[in-house]
Amino acid sequence: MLSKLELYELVTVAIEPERPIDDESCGDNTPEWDSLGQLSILSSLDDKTSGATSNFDGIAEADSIKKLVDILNSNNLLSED
Amino acid sequence: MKISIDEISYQLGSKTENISDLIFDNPSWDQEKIMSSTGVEDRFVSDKNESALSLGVLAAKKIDKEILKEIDLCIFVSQSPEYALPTTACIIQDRLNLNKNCAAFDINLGCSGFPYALSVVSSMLENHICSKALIICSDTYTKYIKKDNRACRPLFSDAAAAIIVSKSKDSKIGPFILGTDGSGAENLIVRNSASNIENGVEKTLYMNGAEVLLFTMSNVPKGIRKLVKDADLDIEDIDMFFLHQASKVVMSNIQRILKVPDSKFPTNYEKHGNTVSATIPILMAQEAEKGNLQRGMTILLFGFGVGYSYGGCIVEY
Repeated sequence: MLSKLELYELVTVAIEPERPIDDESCGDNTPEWDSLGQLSILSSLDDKTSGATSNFDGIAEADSIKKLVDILNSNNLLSED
Repeated sequence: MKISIDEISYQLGSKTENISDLIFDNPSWDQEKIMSSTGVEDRFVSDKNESALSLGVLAAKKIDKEILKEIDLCIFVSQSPEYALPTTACIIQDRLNLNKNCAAFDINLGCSGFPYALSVVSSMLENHICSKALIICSDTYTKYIKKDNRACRPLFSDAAAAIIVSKSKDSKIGPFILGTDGSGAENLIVRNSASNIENGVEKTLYMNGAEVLLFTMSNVPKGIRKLVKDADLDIEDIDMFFLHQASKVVMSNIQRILKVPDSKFPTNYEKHGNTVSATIPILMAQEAEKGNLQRGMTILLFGFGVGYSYGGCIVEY
């Protein structure tokens, strides 16, 4: 399980964006979140969840916080706090 | 029956391309970011006169002629065939002047190709169909890659490896693990090729890096653990891991998941790039030259990628 804040932190460390990560962050408004940035996010998620996320449908194309939250929520990996 | 990998030689594409050359061609690319993901500084690119066939023949010609005279099985592992037909291995039989009683055929596989070829050779040796085999793993993926293809150009490199495999008193190859998930075929593919040609459209290599990474993280460590278990070994019993040299992000994730120390996990993608099915034998040859890979070691080979396909084996070297 990880919280939304932990997800923000994970994405921030993975792609080192200039502007802070928030609910609206995505590939379109965050230049660092490109295809190479996505590899870094997927690697960090795999590490953080002991490999669980790498089997989730749609995670490869999840290039926004909203999409990641949806996938993590639907797989019971996102905590309320 | 005991089988050994007797000798490995290799030939690299004649042109060297540095990461700086790529940035020169594509000024908008971020060198630091590409390096942090691929880890590849230098790659080898075949000249217009070079092909997977010519590189393979050059690699094989580095092997003693007396050994080549004994070859009665020749397998060419490649996805860069000289022609749609005839079989490239048949041309190789002639170019190397191998015996006419030599069986020769191609295996159309990419990064998993070397373990697959070893499994076929092992079976044929065990069944006395042949006594000494030559495997040539060779590809020229760069011919499928445009200059501005950021997913593929920083990674792939052209090279060939020639490997002699024969019956042995001391060494052993196996068990093997082989697997396929063809649902990933579209994620690493040369479009507009073979039976799917659109007139006027170039052959181009497409890779969905995110999907390929997920495939490797989900399947490769699991496959390695199963292979080790099937051999009644533990991960700690493996002296060295020779994995397909995909890229830094792939290799570092597999190493992290398996918790293998650097000393047992050699890499050469930094200075050679991803040479497809040739990565494993080239890495073995280089580690042997350095004295790190020694006879008597228990090593694990594992290739994975395009297909999706994966294959691995344990070698008592």
